[in-house]
Amino acid sequence: MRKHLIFVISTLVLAVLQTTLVPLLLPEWLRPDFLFVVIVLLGLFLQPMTGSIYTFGMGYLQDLLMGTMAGLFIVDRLVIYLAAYWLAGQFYAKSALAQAALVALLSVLDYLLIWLLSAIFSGGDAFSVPLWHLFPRAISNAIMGLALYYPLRILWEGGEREL
Amino acid sequence: MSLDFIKQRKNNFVPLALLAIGLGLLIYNSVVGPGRRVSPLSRAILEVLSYPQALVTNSATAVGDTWHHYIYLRGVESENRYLRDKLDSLMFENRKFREEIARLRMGITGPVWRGAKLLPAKIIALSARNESRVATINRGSDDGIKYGLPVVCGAGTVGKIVGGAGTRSVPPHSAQVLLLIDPRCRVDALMYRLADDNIPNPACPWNPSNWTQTRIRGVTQGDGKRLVLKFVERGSDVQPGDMVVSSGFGGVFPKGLLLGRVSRVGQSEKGLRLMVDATPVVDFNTIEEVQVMIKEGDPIR
Repeated sequence: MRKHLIFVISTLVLAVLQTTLVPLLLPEWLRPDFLFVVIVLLGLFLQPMTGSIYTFGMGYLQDLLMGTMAGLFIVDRLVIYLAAYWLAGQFYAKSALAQAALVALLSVLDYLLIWLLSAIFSGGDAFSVPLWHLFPRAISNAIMGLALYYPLRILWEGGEREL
Repeated sequence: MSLDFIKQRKNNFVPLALLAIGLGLLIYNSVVGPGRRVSPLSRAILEVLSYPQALVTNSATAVGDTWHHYIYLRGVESENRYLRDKLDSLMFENRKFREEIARLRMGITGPVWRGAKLLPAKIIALSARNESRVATINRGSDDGIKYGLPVVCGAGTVGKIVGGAGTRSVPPHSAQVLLLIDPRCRVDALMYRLADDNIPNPACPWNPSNWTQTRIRGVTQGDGKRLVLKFVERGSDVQPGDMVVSSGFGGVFPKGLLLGRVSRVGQSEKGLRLMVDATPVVDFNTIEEVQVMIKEGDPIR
């Protein structure tokens, strides 16, 4: 129970930092997406039942913070979580390089998925970010993934999933 | 299908069920649109998060202020800030009165927003990712803020108030502003150009008495950084440098609010429309304080 409470509070803290300090400190093309990174890492630690419940909640939170219609980030994040879970099972994801590559790869998928979902469900107003932002953002997400990996591993130590 | 069967396969069922719920929500919201009320849970989450957001933003600003006030330039910075705020609000007032005069000269009476009040607000958070351009301000429905109110600053138009999670419901102590450069923000616009016999006043380039309406209309839509003017007819006389202002149609933005300046005009070979880009007059990367326009008769608390 304590683990879950710590995780929820940490997620809220990350969400607050994401919307306040990060925009003040970093240019928009370099801003990592904390919640996205946490969701990818959940794919390494948690079984789909627990992981997808958390992902659902975090997707909903992201929808609230982005002012988008509820559901857009829920669907996006669930797909990302399931993809992370599946990819981590296919490849050896314990090395730092593999984790960074996984986060970077899924950043690209996330970008495409958000574009696609917003194009389909927002009446043609697809969210568009300049394509060249994609690479630096994937890199900053990957770096953030390395930074968040160890705290999350400590939190979920002896957790649900063995890679 | 027995309960045991589901329990054994909970790792498959739960993600799929949640994905189905998410998709259902998405489809429902895209069909119904922003007309419904925000759920109590969403309202509570936004309300709870607005306090740490304000705390972190204020702390970060305080650290920056400490540097500027006491170490970098003691005194000068606060005076500068005060004067900038004053200038901002005076510029806006000035433009409003000039627009009023121009309208009266043209014989147009009954402005939509005569006597609108300006409620100052501070930006406490920005959207978590740059696909969506939303800012959170420290004023909410308890201060008289409602869905759809225009938000401005001294330089021009900032955006409009939207509810939480794409609804029309505004939380009591914070509100989200859909910025002009968000792809979901569209404004019916008119273009103005400096009359041939007028010399612009560099101190106040926006002055409707020496700018003439070109009668060219369009609809601005954000693309994350700039404004794209849609539905401008091919062959229209649009030139870089033309001012883009709100036309007053649509009921959200009153006529005459400055939106941007035409930066590029492209003529496609086949299309029926011109491709026009405009640079917003507001710098959305540095903006810290805004003013919400509240209609006459609506209370400001």
